Amino acid sequence: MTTTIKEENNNQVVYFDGRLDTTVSMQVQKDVQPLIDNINSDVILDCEKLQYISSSGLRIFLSILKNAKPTGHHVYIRNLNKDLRQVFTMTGFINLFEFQD
Amino acid sequence: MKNRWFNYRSFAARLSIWVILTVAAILLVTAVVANLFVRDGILREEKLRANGALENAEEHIEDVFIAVETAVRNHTSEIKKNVEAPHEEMYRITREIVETNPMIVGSAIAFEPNYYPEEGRYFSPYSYRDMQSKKGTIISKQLGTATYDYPTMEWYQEPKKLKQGYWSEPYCDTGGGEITMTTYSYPLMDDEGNVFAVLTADVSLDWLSQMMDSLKYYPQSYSFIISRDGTFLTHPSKDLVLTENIFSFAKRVNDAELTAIAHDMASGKKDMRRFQSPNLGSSFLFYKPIRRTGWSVAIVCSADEFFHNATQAGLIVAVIILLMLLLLAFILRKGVHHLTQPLVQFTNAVNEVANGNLQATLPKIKTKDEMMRLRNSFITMQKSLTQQMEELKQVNEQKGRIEGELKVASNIQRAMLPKIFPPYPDRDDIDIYGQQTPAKAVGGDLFDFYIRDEKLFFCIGDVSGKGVPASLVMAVARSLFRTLSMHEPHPERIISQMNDRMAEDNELNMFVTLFLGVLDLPTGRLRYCNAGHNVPLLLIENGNVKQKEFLPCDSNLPIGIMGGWKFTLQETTINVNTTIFLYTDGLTEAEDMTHQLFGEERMISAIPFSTGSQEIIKRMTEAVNAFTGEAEQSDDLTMLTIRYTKRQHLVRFQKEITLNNDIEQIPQLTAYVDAVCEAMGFDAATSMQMNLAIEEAVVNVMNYAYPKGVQGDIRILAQANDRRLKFTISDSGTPFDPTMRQAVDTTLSAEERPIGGLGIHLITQLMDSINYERKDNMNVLTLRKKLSPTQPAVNE
Repeated sequence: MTTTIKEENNNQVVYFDGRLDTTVSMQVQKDVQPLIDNINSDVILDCEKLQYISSSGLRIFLSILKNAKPTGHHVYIRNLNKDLRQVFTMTGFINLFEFQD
Repeated sequence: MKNRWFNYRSFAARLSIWVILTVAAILLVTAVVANLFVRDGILREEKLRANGALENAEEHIEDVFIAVETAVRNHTSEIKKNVEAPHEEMYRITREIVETNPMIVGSAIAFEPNYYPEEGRYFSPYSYRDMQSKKGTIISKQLGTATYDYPTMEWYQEPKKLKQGYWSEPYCDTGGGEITMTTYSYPLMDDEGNVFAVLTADVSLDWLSQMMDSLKYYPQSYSFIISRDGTFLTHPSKDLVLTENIFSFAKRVNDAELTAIAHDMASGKKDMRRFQSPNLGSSFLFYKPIRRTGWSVAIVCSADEFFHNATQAGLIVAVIILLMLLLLAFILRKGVHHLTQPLVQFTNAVNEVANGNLQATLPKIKTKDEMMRLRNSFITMQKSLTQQMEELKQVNEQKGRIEGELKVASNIQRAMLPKIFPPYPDRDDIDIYGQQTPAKAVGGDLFDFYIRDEKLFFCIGDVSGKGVPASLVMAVARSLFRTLSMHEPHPERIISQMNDRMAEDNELNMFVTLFLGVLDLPTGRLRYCNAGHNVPLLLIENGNVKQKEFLPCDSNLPIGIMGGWKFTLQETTINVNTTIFLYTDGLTEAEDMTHQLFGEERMISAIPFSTGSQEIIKRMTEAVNAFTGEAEQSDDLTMLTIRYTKRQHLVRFQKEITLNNDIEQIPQLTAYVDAVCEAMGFDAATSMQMNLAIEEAVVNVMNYAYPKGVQGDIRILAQANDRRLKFTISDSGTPFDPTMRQAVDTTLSAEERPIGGLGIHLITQLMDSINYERKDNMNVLTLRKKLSPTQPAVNE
């Protein structure tokens, strides 16, 4: 699992590649922490290569969102595949985030 | 038309008849009384008249007699003077007497025997009128002969004896041609007072008849005179004269009345009497004595003649009265008809009102009388009726609404009870049937069941009372059961919370008896708690052994009585083909007409083995109905039958792994799950879902089962049969039931969403059931996924 943060078009884009399960969640948490601490623009979470996300992963997504809200910036999820989309639906996360495809 | 008018017409007719009868009666009485008065008056008049006539007659008769007496007495001195004179003088005197008195037909001077010796014994010069001669010659002769010994005769003896004039009894003078005569004899006395001769004058009484005949009082009346001894002196029937005696006549005609009258007449009385005359019929007889001679004269008049005019007048009056009555009848009919015309109209109005038209028009009444009052009363009645019907309509509407609402409530309540049977058609481990028959529109019994996480939660209860209040409490209890059991699998805890909630605000002290059970379907493990409810019956079928026994139950209080009560949990394991029969006291306390109870004995003997739950309830219902017969249902009747029919399915596949409670081992878990899914032939999406679910479950255990720093095992077993894939995750850590965690509210906003809790939520979403058991000091979590029918064959 690799997590990459890039800046594109004045947005912070986080690329997720691989399985975001409980094992790696701690690491991913660390990786995105700088972003969480400093949200100065809209955030895009690119999930094109995200194969799997467990509840720990969802928690990370949620914490990004929670921290972005007060700043007034949006959090977009991009290219989420349909299986994972179902997971988002089940958990109600589908209503929390804005999606870009 | 005739029928409708009939009653009214008979009223008018009756009224008319009454009036006419009364008038007729009055007139009749008046007429009769008047008639009596008139007749009385007539009678009195007639009496006066008759008396007058009689007096007249008497006077005439007396006159005659007085004249005769006078004539006779006038000659006595002359006779005395001529005693010594030649006897020729005597003859002359007698002749003179006869000549000068047309009344006197004969006169004689009868001397004492041998008074004149030269004459012999008898010397009685006698002159009489020759009746046969037309001129009326007077013949003189000697009266006394040998054959006529006059001194012995009454006419000689009496005056001589009495020394005064004497009128003889009238007699018929055969010598002179059948003339009625009477003789007046007067004694001649010498100076010494000795009677020497008797002077007689014979008086014809012919004139008497004539006189009486002319006394024609009424055309049909007649008169008669009787002598001293009752002999008829005059009578219209001439053959009675001098031959018949009134007494013998009366005897002959057998008339007692006449005899009495005769006696009175003979005794010189004067009166008026009624009697039956042989020729005149009912008659009046007026009689009066002729004093001088001792006779009595009577006039007989027929009553008809008297009253002839009165009777005629009476008839005329009667005819007039009749005509008047007819006229009265006619007028009455018309009049009553007219007066009661409004009654007919009222009758019509009443009929109209009866048919529903309250505003029927009433006849106009102009008179200020009873009809007017009737009309006013009628109007009042119309108003009152209209008002009452309005009120009634409202009450009925209200009643209808209430009934409608009760119906709705009944439907709502019925909807609250499970009613789709079989409820789990694709499950083969359980056969459930439940039925409630409320005593009223809504009932106070409840039963409920549902399956959650491979556990069957069921309950049956009875609210104290019935009807609407009980049904409301029932609704609360049921919703509490559902809500609380969603997160609490232990029956005694569910009941405890229900009890605490319902004991608050329980002013009416309504309580609920409840039996609550949780049957773990995979294992047959039954946990239950009985709060004062009827103990369920178990039907155990173990091969050939069939047994009916009661489930052992602690006696806990019913729910709602005392908050904080400690309810006890009981457990048992039931085998396959065991039936749990639950019921309320509506079954055991069903009454028949003699108030006998159905009872547990009958229930036990009626319940059948080896048959489905629905059939059991059907048979029990029939048994109760047969028992109660015509008696009214006194309580709600509720039954729930649960038959545990679990079949062991063939295990197609099995794989297990044991891990440490170390997150780092997740990849191994992933590989394991992938392998299982591969073997099951799941597609990628399903595999991912499995992975997600298992990961969440195992991570939960890893995080919470064992205390920090303690190493522990987690065993994961995957089993598949033809129906489902089951993961059993067990650990020997502290009791931890992940299903007890708070449900996740996925509708909360980002700010509101808690970070935790997602895991269990995901599992619940992804798996068909999640089931926690604490067994043998181990946490056993079972996740099940149903296999679709198109599941490809297992490839191991």
